[in-house]
Amino acid sequence: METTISRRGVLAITAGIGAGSALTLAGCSADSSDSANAASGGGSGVGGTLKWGWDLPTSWDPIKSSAGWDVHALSLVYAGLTQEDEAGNAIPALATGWTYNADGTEVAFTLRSGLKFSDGSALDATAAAKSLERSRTDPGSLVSSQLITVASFTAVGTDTVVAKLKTPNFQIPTLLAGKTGMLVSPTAFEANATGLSLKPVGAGPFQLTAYTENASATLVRFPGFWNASKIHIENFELYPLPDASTVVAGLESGQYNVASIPGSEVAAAKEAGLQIQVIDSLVVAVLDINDAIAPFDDDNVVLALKYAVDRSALLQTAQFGYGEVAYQPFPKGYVGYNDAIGSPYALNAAKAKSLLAASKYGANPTVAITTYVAAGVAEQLQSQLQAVGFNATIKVIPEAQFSELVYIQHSEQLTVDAFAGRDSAVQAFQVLFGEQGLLNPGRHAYPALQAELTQVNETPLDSSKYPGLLQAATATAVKQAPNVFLYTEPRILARASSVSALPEYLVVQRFEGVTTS
Amino acid sequence: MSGFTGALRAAVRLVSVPVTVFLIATFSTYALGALGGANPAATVLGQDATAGQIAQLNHQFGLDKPFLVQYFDWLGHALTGNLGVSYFTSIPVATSIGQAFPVDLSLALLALGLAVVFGGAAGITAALRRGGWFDRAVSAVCSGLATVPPFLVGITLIVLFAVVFRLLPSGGYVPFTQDPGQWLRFAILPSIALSAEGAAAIARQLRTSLVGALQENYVLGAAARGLSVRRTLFRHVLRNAAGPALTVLGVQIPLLIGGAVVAEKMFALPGVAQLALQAGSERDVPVIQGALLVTIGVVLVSNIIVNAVLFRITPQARRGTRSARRRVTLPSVGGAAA
Amino acid sequence: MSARRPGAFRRALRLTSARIALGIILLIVVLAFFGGVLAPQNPLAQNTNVVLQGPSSHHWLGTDYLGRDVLSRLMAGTGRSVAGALEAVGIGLLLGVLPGLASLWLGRTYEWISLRIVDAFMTLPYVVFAVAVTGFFGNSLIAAMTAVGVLISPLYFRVTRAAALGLTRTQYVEAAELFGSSRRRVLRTHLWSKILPTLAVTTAQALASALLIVSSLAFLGLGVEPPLPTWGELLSSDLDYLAQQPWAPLFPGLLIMLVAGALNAFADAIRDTGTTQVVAADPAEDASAEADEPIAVGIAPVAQPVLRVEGLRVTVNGGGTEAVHGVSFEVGRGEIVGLVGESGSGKSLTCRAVTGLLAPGCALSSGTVELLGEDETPPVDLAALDRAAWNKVRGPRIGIVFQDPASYLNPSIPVGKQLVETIRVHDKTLSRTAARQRAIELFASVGLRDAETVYRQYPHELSGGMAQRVLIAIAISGDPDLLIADEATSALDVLVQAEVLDLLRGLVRDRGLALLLVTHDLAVVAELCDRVLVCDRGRIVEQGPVANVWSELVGAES
Repeated sequence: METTISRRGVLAITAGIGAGSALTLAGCSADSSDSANAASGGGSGVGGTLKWGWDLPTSWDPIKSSAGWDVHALSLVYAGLTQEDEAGNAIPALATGWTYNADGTEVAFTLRSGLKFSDGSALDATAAAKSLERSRTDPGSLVSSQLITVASFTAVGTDTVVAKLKTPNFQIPTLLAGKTGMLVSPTAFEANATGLSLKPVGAGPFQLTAYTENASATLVRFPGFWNASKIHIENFELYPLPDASTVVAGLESGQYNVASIPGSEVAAAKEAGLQIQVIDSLVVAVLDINDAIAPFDDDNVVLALKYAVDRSALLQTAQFGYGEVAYQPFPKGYVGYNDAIGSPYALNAAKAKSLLAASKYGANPTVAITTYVAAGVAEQLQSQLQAVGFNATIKVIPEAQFSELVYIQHSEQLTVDAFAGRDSAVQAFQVLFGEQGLLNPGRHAYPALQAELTQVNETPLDSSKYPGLLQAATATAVKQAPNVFLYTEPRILARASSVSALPEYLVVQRFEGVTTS
Repeated sequence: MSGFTGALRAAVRLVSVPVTVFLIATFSTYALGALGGANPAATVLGQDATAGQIAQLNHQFGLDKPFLVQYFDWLGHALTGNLGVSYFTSIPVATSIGQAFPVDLSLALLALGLAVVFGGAAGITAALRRGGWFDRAVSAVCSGLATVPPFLVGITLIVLFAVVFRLLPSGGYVPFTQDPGQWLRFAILPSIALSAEGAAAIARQLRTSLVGALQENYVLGAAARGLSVRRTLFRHVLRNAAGPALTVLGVQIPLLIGGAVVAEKMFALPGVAQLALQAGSERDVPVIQGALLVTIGVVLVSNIIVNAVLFRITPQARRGTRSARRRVTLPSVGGAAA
Repeated sequence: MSARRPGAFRRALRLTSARIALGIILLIVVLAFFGGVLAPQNPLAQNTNVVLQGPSSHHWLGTDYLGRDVLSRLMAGTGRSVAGALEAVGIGLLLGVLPGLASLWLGRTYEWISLRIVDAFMTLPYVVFAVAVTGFFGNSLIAAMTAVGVLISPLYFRVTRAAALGLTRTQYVEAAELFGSSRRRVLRTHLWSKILPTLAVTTAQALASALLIVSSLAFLGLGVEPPLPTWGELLSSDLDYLAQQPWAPLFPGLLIMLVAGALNAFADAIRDTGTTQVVAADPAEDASAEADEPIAVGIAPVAQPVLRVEGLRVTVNGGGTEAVHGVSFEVGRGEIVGLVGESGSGKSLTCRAVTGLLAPGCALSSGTVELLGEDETPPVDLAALDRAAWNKVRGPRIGIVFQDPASYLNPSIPVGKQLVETIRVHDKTLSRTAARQRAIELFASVGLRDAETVYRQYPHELSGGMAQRVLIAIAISGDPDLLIADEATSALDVLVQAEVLDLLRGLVRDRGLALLLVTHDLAVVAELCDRVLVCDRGRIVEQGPVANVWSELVGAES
């Protein structure tokens, strides 16, 4: 019963976003190395066991995984043509690079040679194309909606995969960096697709050797991983999310040596001599506002709400202060983050009151705060809203009805929610502010924003104009849309001192370079 | 009537009760769920859902059919052993349950064993030293344990053994078949928590039954024959007086399996109850129904077993007349599982 | 309408435990109505500057994760917590009692179906059901409590049905119906007053259970309506912050326990005082308390005494009253001695004292009881033996048979096996086969025809005479020196009695047993005994050969 929003179920989000950066498409990140060297496991000091108390995936088949959070676990066994760097920008992974055609309707990825899946089958262009086509077209694929813009994936020769697009779209490399682009062995899914949920076959840093649902997953280092020389852990054990009250004890007793802990446990963890890392992530707490129904169809009320919320108090309650107050959908350091926005709706109770007074619903409009987590943020929010005059009640709905009521029927006025981002920034915008976006229950259209997003789509990720265009879209959205962003939800990881520092990736936790003694 | 039709009738009578119970139970939860207005397809798709995809997924799940048809579809499949596939994990329900059930089973057996040993010892000793300080202490402890909110025992154990003294892990599980030693490390705390209530119930019931039985003439008769207290107690009295205590024991079994949801949540045990809870909150229908199937099955089987044992140990004199009253009643909700 | 009100409650209140329990319950009722008003602070007032603090002068029980006063929340939450439990139980009552009663009158089909529905609901794991209900009705306290109520109703159904079932078969109800009272009248006048206490007990227990279930459900997030507090919800949020406040769950937890405990205690009190007290069998009957001057009766010395009793005094009622005032006698080898008297004369007590089988509360207060063996074996002081020592005496040295023989055998084991058990306990060298053989021989020797068949039979399958023969066989299996028969033939009919007496005489003659026969039946004495001891009010007032004492006996009886 955590006060933070649950990550499972409701938020079936694929994590990751794409963004341009100064990196060239040919990708010269320090991490990439020739795949031919991947086979040798003889990197210095490979060994030890990492036990991660984090979460077990809903399914080990990336196209059937129903929770966005799964991407972290899935990234242990799967790799894609691209991956994201620490800041969330696309860099080469299984591919060495990519080339777009002139108008951005076709992109060709060059595959490394000699790659294999963990079942020994070849990872060549044909296999890659088959896997990507499966993600796109399989009737049970939950990632197919992300690949709407792709017309087809084809193999050209043994080392080139070509994605043909329906409209110009330069976001593809970041899109394929996440769950959507994970390559699954065709040999495996052609033989037994349903078995993949329990037995994944990919080309990631580790391979699964044993799995007990809801209990644990055991993995070993996969020497055939393209970047195996950077993987120094021999054994990996994955455990479900530990309970807040016992996670520190679990770390001390050696049940885990790395675990996700809530903000409330940081002090205890430090006292116990554990190392703490607070890693920025794309997850942001947000209030979904339905501005098609009363009282939020009056802009003044929406604005009053934005000024009434004391975000840092909520952050303190929800996460003991770990994280940042947020007024925009992206965290600092991400390409879409717009410095200029600042704190446009800093707490201002007086202003909120006067806005309400000026609204057509008077000084005490009635609002129901919809949530499925009863305690914590909702209670505090209610108190804050009441302080400026809202007649606020809390409406607790069953988790199973959440999607139906909030996203499908959009019957709720104000919903406590969270957004975990998208690999592609544009897709993130669509979910949050698009006319069909589920976090836009009012179904408002923002033509100006759409125009800006189209421009972004048509701008290559590495273009110098990209950041500016994206940030402009951010500013527009923040100004026009009613969504109330609250605070970021970073990953807080506690680790035993036997484990080296973990690399701080924004989107997906990775383990290159990590050693454990 | 002929032997065959007689046997057939008896078989039908024997089976009709569990079957009816099973049908009513599965149907009512199915109905409630179906009328609940949840939309599993939407939940699965989450923030990526488009109307078209939701419709397609719902169609795949069979949720667009009238719910009666859905129920009978499920029933038909279940009878052939096909429990379907989870909406949320795409893992066959039979597999999930097949992995979860042994967890509950092994823990339940350990908890039962602890309950029998400690509850039995306490009850017997209290009966033998009736009126003494031990008897009163046992009474007080039993009453206390009966009123403890189920998870308070668990929390106390966790705080003491896992947090303060760091002796045992606070959660997790290793199957017995994989490593018995490790299994015990993970299983001992939850089993103690689970057994507390059962031990109290058994102790109480056994004490009451024994106090009555110890006043029977045949106990005096045994003493007159020169039999020791130990022999009299274990070979004669317990055999005759254990009936109600056995009933209490029988009631514990289903509570431990599929009912121990709070314990499973607290100790992070991958059992059937928490599978059911999670599925319930997401409306993962195949898993809910599968879990229900298992728990109902356990209840019915344990009833049969306990009734059979009761029949065996009931003095033949009383079999005809009092057997009706001795029959085990199915577990009451009152004994809210830990 | 009958003016009788069930006195069950008033009777229950005589117990101190019930009074304390009721006090607690009343306190809770007061809090339920006025908890919010009486609370020291506003239970909803948040103050993020003082979150998760320990007890202080300002906040007696500390603050929660939003800085709210825990004590105030506990008090204010009483009403909702109690209301929730009441609602659950109310629904359970409604859905359970009437159908339960109806099941007895509306015919077999209804009965069968309703029983199956009840079974079905009893097998449902309550959590899944609660989740299903809250999914349907919404996640409110009422929805969750409805689910619990539905799941409690089978309990009421069964309890009501069982109570009514027991009553409909009692004679007075049948008689009432026979005399033409309408069913409804019968129900009203007879059933309600009897069922009400049962329902009260069940309700108290169900309330306690409902409280516990509420807390479990709240732990799982069901039935929680923030920000209004309930005890279960407090527990649930306490668990999120266990590391910061490990003692926090104690407060709501103990409160729940206290109320549940009070309810259970009250239920127990009603139940315990509702049943008629079983008067403990007092073997002393109406023993006199005066210590008269003992009438000296000369102890005629006996050749080859086996049992010597001197100055035996037995107290009853935990030592408060003396019932046997200094009895002395001997029983010799090959002798049949009768111990006669009316009921209450102390003869049974004497017999029990001699064999070490006094009931609790009775004690051998003074005197000697010695068991004398053949030749030079030292006499055994029977008064000083503990249970372990007695186990070596009873069986090998002393055999005992009782009245109502079948009841002194384990009803669920065949009699042959019980004899074999006795044989093997006292002679560990015998194999099972040898013991079985011996047992069958013994059965034959006590006149049981078809010993093999008898071997396999259960006590209740034997006639009185056969059962007594079995007991005698068991009693002599250890080859004892002394046989004591306490009213051994009193429950048998005359013909069978004669046969058993014959048997006993034969045993005495053939084995040289000493036989002490306790009886009130003069005919038995005349038939069998060599000497007779006459008991009266705890003393032996006459002893001697039968012929000598006969006229006294007859005189005394008339």
